[in-house]
Amino acid sequence: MQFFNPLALGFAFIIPLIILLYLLKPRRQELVISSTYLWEQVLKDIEASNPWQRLKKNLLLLLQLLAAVLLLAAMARPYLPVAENGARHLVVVLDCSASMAASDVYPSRLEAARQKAAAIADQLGAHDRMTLIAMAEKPAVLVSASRDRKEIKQMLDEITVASGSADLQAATAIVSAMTKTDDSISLLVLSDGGVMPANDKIKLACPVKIELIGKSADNVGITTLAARNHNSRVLTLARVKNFGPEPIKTEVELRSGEALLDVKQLALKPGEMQDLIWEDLPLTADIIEARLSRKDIYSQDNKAWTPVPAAVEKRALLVTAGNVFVEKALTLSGALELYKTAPANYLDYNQDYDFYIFDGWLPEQLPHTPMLVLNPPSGNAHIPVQGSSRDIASVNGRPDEPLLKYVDVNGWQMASARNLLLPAGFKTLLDYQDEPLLATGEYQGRRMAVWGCDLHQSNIPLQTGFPILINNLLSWMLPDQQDHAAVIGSDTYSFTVMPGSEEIVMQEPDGKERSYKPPFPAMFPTRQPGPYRFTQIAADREQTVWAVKNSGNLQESDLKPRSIAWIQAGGQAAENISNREIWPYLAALCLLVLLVEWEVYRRGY
Amino acid sequence: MDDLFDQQFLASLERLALQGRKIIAGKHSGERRSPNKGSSVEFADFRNYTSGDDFRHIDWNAYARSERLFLKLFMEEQDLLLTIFLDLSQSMDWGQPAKARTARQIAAAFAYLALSSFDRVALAACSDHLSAFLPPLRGKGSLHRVWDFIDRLPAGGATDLNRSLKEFGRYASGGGMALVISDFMSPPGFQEGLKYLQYLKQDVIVLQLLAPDELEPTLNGDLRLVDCESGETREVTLTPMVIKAYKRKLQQYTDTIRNFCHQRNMGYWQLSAAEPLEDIILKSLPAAGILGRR
Repeated sequence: MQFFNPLALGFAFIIPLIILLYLLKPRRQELVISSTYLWEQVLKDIEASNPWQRLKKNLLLLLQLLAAVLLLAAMARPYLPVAENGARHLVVVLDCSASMAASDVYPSRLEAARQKAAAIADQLGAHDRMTLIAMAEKPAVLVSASRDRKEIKQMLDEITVASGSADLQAATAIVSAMTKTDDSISLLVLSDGGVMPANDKIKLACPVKIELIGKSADNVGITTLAARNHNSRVLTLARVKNFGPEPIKTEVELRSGEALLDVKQLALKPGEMQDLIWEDLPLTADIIEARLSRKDIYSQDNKAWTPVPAAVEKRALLVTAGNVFVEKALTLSGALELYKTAPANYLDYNQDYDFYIFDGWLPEQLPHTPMLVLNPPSGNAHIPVQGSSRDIASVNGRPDEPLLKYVDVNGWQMASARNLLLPAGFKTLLDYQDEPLLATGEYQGRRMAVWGCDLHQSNIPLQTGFPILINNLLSWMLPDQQDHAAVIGSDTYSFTVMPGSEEIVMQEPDGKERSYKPPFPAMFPTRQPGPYRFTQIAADREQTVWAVKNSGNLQESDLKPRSIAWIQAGGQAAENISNREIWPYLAALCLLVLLVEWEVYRRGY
Repeated sequence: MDDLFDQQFLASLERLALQGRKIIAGKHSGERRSPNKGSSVEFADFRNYTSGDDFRHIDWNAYARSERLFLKLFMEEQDLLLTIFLDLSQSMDWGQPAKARTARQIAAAFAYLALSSFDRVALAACSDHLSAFLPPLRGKGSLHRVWDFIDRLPAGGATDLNRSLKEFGRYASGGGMALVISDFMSPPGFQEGLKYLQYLKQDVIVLQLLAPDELEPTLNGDLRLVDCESGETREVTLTPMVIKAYKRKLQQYTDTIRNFCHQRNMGYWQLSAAEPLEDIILKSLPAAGILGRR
């Protein structure tokens, strides 16, 4: 047996101190009584009746010495080398996705996982190492191969619940890279199983243990809240889903600021989702809030917010030789005041519009506003075109692309499309055999969407996804004016800053304000759920942009603990000698001895 | 002493009488039955007539039936000598209230009770010897002399009941009733003394008087106990266990005294000094059969 903290044995002076205290005679109080006649007999009887009396006299001393010795031993932190099956390098992946805030495990899933990780850190041997990875949308290595328990626990304390989903695939990719240089790794995943699904089964060359945190799925959440402004009346949609295994009833309150607009009763079967629609709500505030009255284990998704779009319509100019499909799709949203002109009538100096749509033609000098470019002509100066593709029978769409949300591209066909040479920084949304068909990006400081085909040569305008796609593109290009434009999806938010802004004041959901001066950050931190107000202050004007962050989504609100079967472990844990600390047992024994000592004193032995 | 007893209490006392365990012969006519048969209205027995007997006591009806002479015998009522042995050692002067005070009051009450019954009362003060003795007095007129004697008796000294009671022998003249009031904290013992009283034809009644703190000690902690008589000390750490052992020992000691008394046909009763005198005289002692209705 060895000691981690042999210096504590220096406190051994307490033992002779206790004995010294016993050697010092107690000061007895003198008391005159009628007769010691009976007392003498009593004392004789006590001594005569117990042959162990001499020992009993010192029983308290013996117990106190034993307690002191045990305490000293515990302070010195003795350990025993124990051979056990365990990895010397333990990688702990701790899920800190939004669903880990659920309170079905006291006090929360994240806290339970944190405590478990801390307990594991305490059990590390003297030569063991631990790596701690916080798993959110982007995994973060908080501690790398550390033997310092203090550091590990400090980093554990700093972990907070993130707003998005956990990407286990990315986290295991880090572990996989580590196993290439370190064969002593074993992986422990502390998660509720609510992670982003992986494309393929992950194979790891190390032992893997997955501990599921959580036991309940009782949750009802608002997964969508959207508002549309139509002639100064607001149309609001709330989508509520029961993720739990039992049917539930709840009230859905709709508020505008502090004012209660309406309350609706809602009954949902297990797994059922319902849409609630409020029409013709009066416009009284910038933000509409929906609340569920029912309490469940995940309160974060019981509230949702949505900004109310401003009633003011933006002016848009469609420059086309004639495109009724686009014209119709653009006017559907109601947010645009659409003007139309032919390319021949387009004036370069006419910059009065907020948004331009160029169909089959591009001017020499582009306006400084967002624009949608359809079927860019060959030889234009901005979007180079190199040949074309023909008979496009199937179109590929990126499944995780928000701009393709609710857009089904199956069955989309086109007779021909131009092969676009995209400017740097552009992102392809739709492609055909790796040739971009639709791309978005920032071009010389303005947002731009480029569509490489002539819509008249395709069946796309007849598909249900087409108006949705146009609406999504408008949402992205005119963010402060469209339905979904101001919804924050992650812990950061970015928007197109008003030209000439000298200051941006961000008001957080709790009312705190932060001021930013140029150069403005590309991303504004938005960790708390709730409404955010960004006030952009220029020399001669101010513009306010609202954005909301909601916790409810189909991935994270589904709290049912799920096993992660798509990790395949490899390798066996190597036999390892670890040092098992025994101070907790000594401390417990010390406590027991002190209890016995107290009882002995109480009984008067 | 007068102020201790109000008229109502004294009137109550006059309705009480000493209940002796034995019928003891006295010297003068009194209110108490004597073992001697004599002249009274209470018939006791028959016996054969012998020459010289008072023929007025011959039962002529019996003679008519049996033609033999029988003499009718009647109970003779005589007086009683009550000797009160009052332990006034230093230990009796201890406690709250002091045991000696209660003992003096009990003695005074018994003296009143006896004198008002035309009995004689003698008083003896005990410590490590018989320190004072008041010869027998008779009649209510002697009451103040008795009470004054009780009042003036000094308390102090060690306790030796055996020696004190044995020293009574030189004053004893004939049988009577002996009332011993003591805490019985007598290291030399008490048995020989009590037996000697019986030898002197005394009907012995024992009243063991203890202080509340002796019956239920409230002591605690590390103490040096000092004997108020001998000055001896005992160092003791009083714990609940030791207190429990003391109570057990006290119970054993009390049982020893009680058993000794019962085996020898002596009356015994234990009293607490905290008990009001009225309760002792009017309730406890009648309940114990030591006092009864006249």
